Amino acid sequence: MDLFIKDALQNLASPMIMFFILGFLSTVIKSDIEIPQAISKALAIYFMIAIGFKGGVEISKNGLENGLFQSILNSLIIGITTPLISFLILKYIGKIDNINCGAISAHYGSVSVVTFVTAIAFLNIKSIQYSGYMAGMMALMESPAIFVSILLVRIFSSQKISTLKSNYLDLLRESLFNSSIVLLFGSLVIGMIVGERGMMSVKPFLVEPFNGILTLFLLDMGMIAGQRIGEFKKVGLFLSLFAVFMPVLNALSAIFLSSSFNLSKSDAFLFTVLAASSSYIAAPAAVRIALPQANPAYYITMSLAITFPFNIMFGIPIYFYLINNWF
Amino acid sequence: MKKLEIIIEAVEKRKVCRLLDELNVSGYTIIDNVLGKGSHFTRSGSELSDVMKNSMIIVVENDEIVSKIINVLKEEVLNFYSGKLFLSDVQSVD
Repeated sequence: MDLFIKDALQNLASPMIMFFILGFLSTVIKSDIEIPQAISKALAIYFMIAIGFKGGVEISKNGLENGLFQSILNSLIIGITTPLISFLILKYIGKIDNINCGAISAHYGSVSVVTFVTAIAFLNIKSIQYSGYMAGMMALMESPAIFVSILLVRIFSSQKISTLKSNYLDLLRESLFNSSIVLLFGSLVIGMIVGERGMMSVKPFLVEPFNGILTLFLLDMGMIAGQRIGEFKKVGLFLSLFAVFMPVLNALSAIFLSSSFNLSKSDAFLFTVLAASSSYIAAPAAVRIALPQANPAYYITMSLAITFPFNIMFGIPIYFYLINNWF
Repeated sequence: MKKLEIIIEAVEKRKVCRLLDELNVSGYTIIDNVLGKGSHFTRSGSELSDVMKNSMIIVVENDEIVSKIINVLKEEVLNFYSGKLFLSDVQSVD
């Protein structure tokens, strides 16, 4: 327990998390800090390239470790079960309408790049190694939940969702070829091809400044999360509690699954963080296209202003502790 | 000649352009990240996804095509998404 408190405090006192809190507070006190949108987008691209590339180089060094197929299976099971559990809880306990159930479930089943990146920074600080292919697993876990959730809405809704048909092409493009999937897989493959020698030439850009750049990105994320604070009233008590409870439940399912697949502790930790995270880049766009009747104030506020801060501030050390003690 | 200003959620921009192409519109201008406040949400434009952002598409065409565009957009897009259409008379000078 002492170790957990030490880890949790160390995490909260890390520059990345403190800059996130600064960003959050700066919007509350209405400071005029502004990070241009183009820079935010460029930083998001940087992290996807950095983790994909590093993963690819690790694979080229160590080959595909034994856990790969178990990991693929694990990621698919998590991607399919988490939206299903979320949907049923929202529908039968929260009494939320089917369309909003589907929209929220898609977010909680899909994954967050920035939460994953923060978990990697957490492992970096502790000098803990993880499998190279985990970046690929992240990309693999982005889309299934979106499709499962839309399918659930169709199964549970008596009236047809007429927009689905006309927007099918856009939905497919948004879910399967969105920037994070293309960049993660693309960088992973490039990393595998160029290997360690290629890594030497880009290391000063893609590896060394990783945690430093994350402080800037999390400052921006803090500001974006802080801007949504006014939407809390619309979200209500049940959904606010759901946004904290669901990541923990998803994390417990992922820990259970990962232990059945005999994955390494660090990989299991990253899987747990992925399962606990909720998407706020890929899923909102796909859901807005597929389920326009759903209320974006619910899913964006829950995902961005509640679950994301909870995960990076408290979730990450909790999941790390659980894995180290239960696994 | 008429000028149609289409303010639409950014996630639907690709679809609107596709519909315009299908109607053989000779050209259009797109302005991204159109900010403001409407009956649905404040359009902040500060999110990482395109949700909560607006784009504006400007089309100048003859009356017949413009009325077709309006009908198609009302049916295919504005039925489900927030947005605004503004129509005005315009004179092309070049």
